[in-house]
Amino acid sequence: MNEVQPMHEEVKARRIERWVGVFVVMAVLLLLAGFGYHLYHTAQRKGWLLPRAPYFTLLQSAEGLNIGDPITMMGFNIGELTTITAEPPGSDNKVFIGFTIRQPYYGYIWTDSKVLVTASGLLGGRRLEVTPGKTGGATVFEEHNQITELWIHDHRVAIDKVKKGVHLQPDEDAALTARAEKLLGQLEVALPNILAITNRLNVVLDNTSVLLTNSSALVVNLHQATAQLAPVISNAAGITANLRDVTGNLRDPHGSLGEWVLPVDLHTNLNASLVTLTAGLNDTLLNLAAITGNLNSQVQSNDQMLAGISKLVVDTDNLVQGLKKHWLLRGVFPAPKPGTNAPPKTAR
Amino acid sequence: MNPPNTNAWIDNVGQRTLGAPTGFWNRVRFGRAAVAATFLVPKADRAALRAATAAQVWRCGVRQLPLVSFVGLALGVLVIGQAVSLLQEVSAQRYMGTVMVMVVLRELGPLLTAFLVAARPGTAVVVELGAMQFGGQPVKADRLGLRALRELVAPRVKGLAVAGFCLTIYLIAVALVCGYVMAFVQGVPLRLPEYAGQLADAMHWLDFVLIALKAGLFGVVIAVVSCYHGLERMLRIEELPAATTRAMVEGLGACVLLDAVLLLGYLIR
Repeated sequence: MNEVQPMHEEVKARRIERWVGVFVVMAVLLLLAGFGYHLYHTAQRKGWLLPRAPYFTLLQSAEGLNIGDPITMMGFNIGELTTITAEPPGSDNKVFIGFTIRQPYYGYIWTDSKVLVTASGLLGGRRLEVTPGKTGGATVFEEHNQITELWIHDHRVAIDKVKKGVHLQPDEDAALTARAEKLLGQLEVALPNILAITNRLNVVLDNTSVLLTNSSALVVNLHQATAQLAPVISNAAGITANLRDVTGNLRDPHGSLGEWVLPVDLHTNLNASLVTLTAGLNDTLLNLAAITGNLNSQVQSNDQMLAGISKLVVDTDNLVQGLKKHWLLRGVFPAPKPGTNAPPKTAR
Repeated sequence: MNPPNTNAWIDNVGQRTLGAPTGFWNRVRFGRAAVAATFLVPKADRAALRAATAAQVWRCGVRQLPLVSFVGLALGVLVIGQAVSLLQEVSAQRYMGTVMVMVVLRELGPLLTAFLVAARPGTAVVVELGAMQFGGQPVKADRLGLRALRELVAPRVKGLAVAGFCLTIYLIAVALVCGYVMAFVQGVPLRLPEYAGQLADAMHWLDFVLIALKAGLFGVVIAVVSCYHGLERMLRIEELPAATTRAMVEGLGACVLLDAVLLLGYLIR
């Protein structure tokens, strides 16, 4: 019995150890399987096992680009961004962007392919998209499924001598934020003018409304006037006919009104009357000249008479002044009193 | 009826506040000694330690597998069930894998496993070590010799670390599988390879490292805290529930703190 008990314990311990081993190994295998699948899937997605061709482009700005960003073409993820460096000062394009394209997508990239830099997302990000070639030549040459040469500066260069890669022309748009800022700036500048235009449009619309109202009334009035003009025009036709008859009669003096208004010897009578009138006027003018002469001599004699009268007045004044000073008549002309505002004399 | 003694309560708070640094450093010292005793084992003791560790893994790991599997199933079903209804509204089912990785693999999986380990094997360790003192020589955590540490603490630290690591992997695996089954049942047009591809795309190699690190460290932390509270002082039987509760709360708090520290790993990648 004593020997059986330890055996039983030992078997139980071994069984536990086995189950524990299975428990641990299964967990580790699960973890490793997950990690292995993750590596496999990432390798597939990023093409780690496929040959890659280096390319580069030169941009004005690296804003919104990050190393590791995917490169796309025709909607496929074909490579990734590997290098972002600043070019030396004075360069036309300021930023060097290097990227790799994996097999088989570099077969679509020819010498006329371009790198489009487009906005990505709402946070100012950008991404690179390569356009497939249309009229150019291949940029990558393979032998036995391996890249051997690249097309650089119109020459085939061995892959191991390539430093930067194949240059592709960029087609760079400004970043979304920059474009938005620019648009906002233009909008701010244009806003006052837009408001002014809006105000003017309001005024024009108001005026147009008034004009339309007036036009409507005018049309109504014109309609009424047109209706009233119809009988006038029909009456005018009769008047015109009558006037034509009168004009015809006036052209022929031997008839009705002409002969009655304008007698035949009218000119002769008018001449005789004018001669008689001219002679009478001449006599009248002569008499008038004589009267004027008489009036002139009368005025001159009046001047002499006035001078005599003036002398008479002066002499008379001298006489009166002399009489004032005579002892006999001095009392008749009392001396003038002093000022009337003198105080009254009081009784003593 | 006596009025509540406010001064005694304030005294208690002050005593705890002043004693907190001492208690923290006691735990740190104990943890350092326990880890040293766990990983620096002489050849002569390795066989015994291996057997004791296997027993702990059996008890704390294998026997917890049904509960962990059930929680993993519930987690996968709940997360996918909620995510599908939300993602279908915006036609974003392709983010289902990302949601599973973010929620289950990175955060909830390790934390939920730590909760289960602290709640079941962790509390059992406190009770077991506390009860050991009733019948034998009383031991104190800060007076334990190296041999006692190797016999009492090391197997539990190793066993809980291995069990925590394995249970975390199982819980995540069950949750991911059940999540796909739930999505299939809900009629989401997603084939298994696509789902696996989504998961693989959403993962990062650092996820695997951090999951393994988290799961193992959570087990170690829970084991050290549980052992400390089981051996902290000579426990009376009525003190065992309070010690168990303290151990669980401290263990989970330490795990959450460790999780926050390991979160920095995602920031530096």
